[in-house]
Amino acid sequence: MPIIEVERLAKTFRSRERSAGLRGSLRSFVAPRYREREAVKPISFSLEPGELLAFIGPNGAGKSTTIKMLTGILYPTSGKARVLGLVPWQQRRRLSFRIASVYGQKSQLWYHLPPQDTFDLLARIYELDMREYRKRRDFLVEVFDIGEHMRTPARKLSLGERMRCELAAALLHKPSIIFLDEPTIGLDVIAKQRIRDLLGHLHAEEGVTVFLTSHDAGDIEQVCRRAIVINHGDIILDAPVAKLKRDYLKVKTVDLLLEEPAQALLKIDSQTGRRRLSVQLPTSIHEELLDTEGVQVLKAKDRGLKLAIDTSRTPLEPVIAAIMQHSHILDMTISDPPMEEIIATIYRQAGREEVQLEQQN
Amino acid sequence: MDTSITRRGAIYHARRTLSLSLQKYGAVVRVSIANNLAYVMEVFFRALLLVVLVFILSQLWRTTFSARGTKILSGFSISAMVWYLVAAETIAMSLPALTRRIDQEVRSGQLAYLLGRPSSYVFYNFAQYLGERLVRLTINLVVGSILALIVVGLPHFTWMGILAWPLVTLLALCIDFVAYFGIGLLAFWTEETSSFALIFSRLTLVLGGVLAPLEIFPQPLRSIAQALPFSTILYGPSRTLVHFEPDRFVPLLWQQLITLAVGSLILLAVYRVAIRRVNINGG
Repeated sequence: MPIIEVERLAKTFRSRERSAGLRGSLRSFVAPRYREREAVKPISFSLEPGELLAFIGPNGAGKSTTIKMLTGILYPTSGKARVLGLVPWQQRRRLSFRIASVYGQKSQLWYHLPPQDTFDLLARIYELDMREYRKRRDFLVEVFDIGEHMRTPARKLSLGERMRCELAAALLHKPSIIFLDEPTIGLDVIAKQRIRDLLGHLHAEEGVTVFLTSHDAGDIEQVCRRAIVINHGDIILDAPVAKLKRDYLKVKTVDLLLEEPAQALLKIDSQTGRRRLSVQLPTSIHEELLDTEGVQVLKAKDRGLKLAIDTSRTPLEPVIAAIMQHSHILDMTISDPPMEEIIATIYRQAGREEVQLEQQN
Repeated sequence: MDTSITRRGAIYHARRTLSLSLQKYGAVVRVSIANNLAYVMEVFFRALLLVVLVFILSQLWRTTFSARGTKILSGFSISAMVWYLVAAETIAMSLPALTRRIDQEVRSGQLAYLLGRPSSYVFYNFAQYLGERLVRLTINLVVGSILALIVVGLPHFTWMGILAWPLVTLLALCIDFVAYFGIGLLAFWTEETSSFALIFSRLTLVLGGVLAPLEIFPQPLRSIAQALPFSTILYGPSRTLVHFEPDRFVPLLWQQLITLAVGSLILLAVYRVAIRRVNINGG
């Protein structure tokens, strides 16, 4: 039986429009004009217990609005939703005992106090048995490795340390579902990885259902099994993360800082006139592979080299190994395509499928 | 038999709910006190402003008393007048920036955390406000009392006045909360709430009797000011401490309770409408 059921859920915001200039301000004061914005168009989906869902999309796509409707904070304009069998906006209090939410850009820790005090307060707020609470707290402190931060005022914690404390605080009452709204925003690579590992660990240990919004493709790849992509309030894709990875996250951007000038690794393709990476792949018998398959040179300046590598055609590792044979790599960053690009690809693919269907008919 | 079991069950349930709620909001008060004690020096320096204000006002009253050539003015000696000013300023200057906090919570979306918890947004905020205000009130009281002792010496309080003062002061703090929280909720409709808070605070200072007890006011302003809710916040509690009179205490208590009840009803009505208008930023 689904743990979350959403049926044609929609939210329209009404906001006052202001014209520019003094005359415009006066006009909007006397005769205000309102603009309606469909933050979430009617969407439907369901989630089974224990699923790891990535609810993804660019800024302003309607992700947070959906989370806030499912946690009962926002009233929808139309549609139905049941979370753990309850209507969130009507039974918010009952629901709040069984769910948790963590907002990456907001904090629930008391700013001047150590997390320990917020934890104790949450135990009272969630009406926990104090003996059970202490056991649970000690367990989470150990798992999240926050023992040394429990007595430090929250304002003195780094963002990564604070986020681990926020997550532990949200889990004190053993929620069945955890809603995470951009939990890794602003974190460095190591802190991000730590949060992702912890979420994976938590799911494996306790089977908690995870509903995660993010526009960091890394969160989705490493934490979730299923992805729903939302854009302009519409669901444009609902698929396993494996399919998302295969179809849309295959191109990685590799930023390198080399010891040698980057130009030494490049050659001009005589047919297209474009610069190509010219290295010998370990698997290749050729001296040089002028037109390296699936590797595109985005930028090459001094010792900096930026490549786009289609991992479905060329795995990353041999390309990096081949570059290392020519030059030492001083620094390297591998990043996923930005969410906007993934969405553009989804639309392109959907468009192609529609054309194919029309041709078949 | 069945009815009595059901009734016993209902009583047990009600008791448990009450006990859990007291523990819950009591914990918020404690954490809020601890949070405010974290910057106690800032609160202490703020209290020094009270010294300046009370000192200037007491000098003005000394001049007035000597100009009139009297030792008693509208029933107040200079000593009672200074202690009255300390009592009134102690309450007036302990007001935290509640409206601004609610306004920011509404605009920044921070209220998402509070709304998503099994606690009442109104009571949670009340408990947080109470903790903050109690810290400020206590420090103001200590600083103000030391000043008054130096300027006019020991007060002539009655035991009844000392015992009644905490009750009427607590009710005054509750009335203040209802007013400023309600104004903060206007952030759901208006773009700026600080002007409303400023108007209310200035009316409380002028008509609530912070500069002088309302007895000093000429008629009909005196009767109007006494009938308005502002007098229940500053004048009522301060006069109870300095000049306790049972004949005035009971009507004050009624006036406070009625003001609080009417204010709470309006606040809850506004809250019910406001909560449907939540339009959290970033959503």
